[in-house]
This record gives sequence, C-alpha cells and structure tokens, in this order.
Amino acid sequence: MGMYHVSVRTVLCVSLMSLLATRGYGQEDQGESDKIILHGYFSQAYAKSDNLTVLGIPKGGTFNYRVLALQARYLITDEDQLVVQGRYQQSGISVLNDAAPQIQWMYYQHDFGVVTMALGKVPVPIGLYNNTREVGTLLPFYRASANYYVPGYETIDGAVLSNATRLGAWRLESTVYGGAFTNLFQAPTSSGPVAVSTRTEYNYGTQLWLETPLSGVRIGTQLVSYQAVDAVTFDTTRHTLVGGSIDATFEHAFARGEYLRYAIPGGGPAGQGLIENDMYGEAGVKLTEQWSINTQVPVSLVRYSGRTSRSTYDRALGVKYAPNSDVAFKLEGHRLTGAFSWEPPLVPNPQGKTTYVIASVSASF
Amino acid sequence: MRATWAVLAIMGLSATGLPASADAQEYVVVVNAENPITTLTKKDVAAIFLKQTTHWNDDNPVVPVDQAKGAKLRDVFMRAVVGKSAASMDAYWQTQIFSGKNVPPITRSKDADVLAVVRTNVNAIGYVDAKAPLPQGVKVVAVK
Repeated sequence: MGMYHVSVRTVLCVSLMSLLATRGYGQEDQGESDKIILHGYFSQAYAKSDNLTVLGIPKGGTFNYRVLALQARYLITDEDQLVVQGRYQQSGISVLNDAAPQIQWMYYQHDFGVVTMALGKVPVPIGLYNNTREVGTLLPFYRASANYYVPGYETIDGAVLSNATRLGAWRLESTVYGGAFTNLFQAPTSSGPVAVSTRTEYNYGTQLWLETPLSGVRIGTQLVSYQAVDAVTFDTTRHTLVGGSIDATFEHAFARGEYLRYAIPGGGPAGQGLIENDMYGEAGVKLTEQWSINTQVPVSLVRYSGRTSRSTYDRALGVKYAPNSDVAFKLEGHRLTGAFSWEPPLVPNPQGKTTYVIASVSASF
Repeated sequence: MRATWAVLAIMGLSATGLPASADAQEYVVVVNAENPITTLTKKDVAAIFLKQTTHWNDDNPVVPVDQAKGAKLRDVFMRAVVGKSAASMDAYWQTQIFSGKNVPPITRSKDADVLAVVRTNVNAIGYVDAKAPLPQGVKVVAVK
C-alpha cells in the first residue's frame, strides 16, 4: 500500500475539482453531460479501553479514531467507467494507521452486458462487508467484525469479473478474481508492535451469492487460493481459504453470520503453521425508524500443534441513531477476551479481558 | 432458533411493500415513445431500477431515471415494485457505491423533469405521478 502514497494536497485538489462538476447520491443530476460522480464517507469516534490496547484503543482513550474516503467515478460511456477512491484512516495508537491519504482503489470497469470486468486496483468481494467494512452509515457498529475483516485483502491488483443470473425466483451473483494481495498485520518486537506488510502476486478466488425467493435472505460462499509468506522462513506457499455467509436483512430487523477458515504459515507461537477459524454473528432490531439496537459476537479459534484453542471472543452491544440514511450516531460497548489475530498476542495471558467503548458519528453521501 | 428466524421473517415481510393494488393509481412507468416495449413485469422494472438489468432486449443500455431522494412517490414506487422502502434502497445503493459495484440511477426532482429525460432519451425509463400530464414522445408501459 505504501507505493500509492499521495499528498494531502493532491487529494484535496482532486476532491475540489470533483465537487465543482459532480453529483452525489440523492442529489439531482444536473444534466446528461455530468460525467463525474463523487461519493464519500466519514466517521469520527472517541474510543476508550479499560485495560489492554485493542484495535488501537488505549486505556487513556483517544479521539484519534476516524476514517475518511472520497470516491470519484468518471463515466466514459454508458458501459465504461474509471473509478478512484482515496482513504485516510486513523485507529488510535495502532501502528497500522495511515501515514498519509492513500489511493485505495483505481480501476477501469467495462460492462459487457453479461459480465462486468474491472481491471486495476479493484475492491474484491469477500463476505458481506469486505469493501464496506468502514462505512459507518451502513454498519451496525463502528466497523465490521474485526476478527473476520482483517487489514489487507480489501483490494486486488488484477482483474475482477462479475455476473448475475436469475434462476427462477432465485438469483445467483458470482464473482471471480485474480491478482496480487497486500496483507497487513502487527508483529511484536522488543520495542513494541511494528506494522508488517507482505505482498503476494498470484492469488485467485470466487465469491458466490445466492439470493433466495424470500426477499432479504441470501447465502454466500467464498473460496480463495492464496499465497502466504511464512513469518519465520519467508517462504511463499499456497493455501486455500474457505468461508460461508448468511444474511437475513428485513425492513426492521436483521441477522447475519459468517465463517472463514484459512492457514497462516509460521503463525503459531513457536513459528509452527496455524489454522485460523474466524466467525461472528450479529443481529439488530429497529425500535423506530431512527433508533436501533444491535449485538455482535465474533469468535476466533486457532489450531496448531494438534490442538485448538479460542483466541478471540468479543461480545458487543450497541445503540444506533440514524436521523436519515446519510448520518448515524452510535454508542457501543465490547467485552473482549483474548486478542485479534492481526494484533500482537497477549503475553503472558492470552485470555486477558478488556472492555472497550466507541462513540461515533458517521456520514456518507 | 427456528422460532427466532420465523419472527424475523414475519417482521421483515410485514414491513415490505404495500399491496400492488393499493398503489396502482399513484404512479405510472414511462418510456420513450420510440421504445418498442409496451409491457413489463414488476420483476423487470425492479431489476432495471436496481441496475441488475442494464440492457434492453435490443442490447441498448437502459437509462433508469429515479425520483429524487425524499420524494414520497419514490417510497411508494420502491415499496410496490422493488419491495423495499426508500430507506432500504438508500442502504442498497450505499452498499453498491462503496463496494465499487455501481452507482444509483440519475435522479430528477420533478415529474416534468423525469418526463423530459424520457422524452429526449430513447433508452430511458422513469416513473411519475399517475396524474402528471404526459408530453408527446412519452408513453406509459403496463406493469404486470
């Protein structure tokens, strides 16, 4: 990701130019000559932990918790588009914070009718939230489940092909993709955690969604053949990620669950291979048109040296107030046992407990 | 667990769409008079306004024209045809936008402006209040 650094001035200039001649969602289109469409989202939070630093949230609390993204789309023709999205993200004292705004996406998209093709640095669909994991107005909590949606794997440098087919009352949405992944995680050192980024060139995968005849209910599956860099030997080996999702979203309630299983070579405490099983369930109810309550339970199990143990167990409860679909205020509390796999392991007590709260405001357009 | 799913399903179903007959008089779907289409199913129209159908049968691109955000007719139309409230449609489009898949249809805030686009663009399709006067060059499509 570091190779796509751009200056703040560049991002502001692009944004300003876009604002001068664009339409956003819900704004009236000014005419057929409008070719540039601007969208964006922003979240600002205050977050505080009562014990360990979790997701960059320190015990003393932080206001340095925000994300901003601006997306510009140029409609070359009815079937051709260029898309660029810049993002700037800060998560408290996390070493994974962006040093500067990043170009997160940049791709060309062509609609062949039957198939849509995107080439470049393209958002890749994995599960329900891979590319909306930080869009606060869409999410029941500040972010999508942090054990499932790990940093990296949000885009692929390559190609993404998508197709949707009606099968009677059912609808199948399928995507295949191939290219390079960037993976981000935090490695412990004697002087504290450091950000580690690895990149592998040859990965491919698919995401399938089957929409059922019951409106709002769909099931999905993910399959990825990926290369991983061994944290100890730095050898690159090929592995398979498998996952499944279920989503039941209605007008006044939702329930969702997802599961992933993948290998992390050299990821065990003694440098041995590790199998990670990440899952979560979440549900919410709208009490009124504006108010909703939501709950989420992420659980991760790791298997190495022939034994399985629970590494992450988070229980979250939150309240969301959304005066309209473009603005949301949230207050959420989490009780975490263990740690998230991409953060430094808890030594000496891997089952350490931490309560953390996040109060946030989000807007999108 | 089974009971929970059943409750959720009922809550969802109870909140989706008005019965078709209740809103049948409130809007009409319109296309350019040169468009050979005379009849569409609700599923066809829904797929067009969700941008799941992107081309007419003759391979020309479909240009859906939506009413502006906040318009009462938009909520009525979306509930009746797509089975989602305007708020759910907003969430749908946010998901489409920020997952990089697509952007919403162009919008117009007045019936006359929707009709103007449909009149001048042979590939356009829109919906307007059933009482709105239709100009020449625009025709109503029966939705079954």
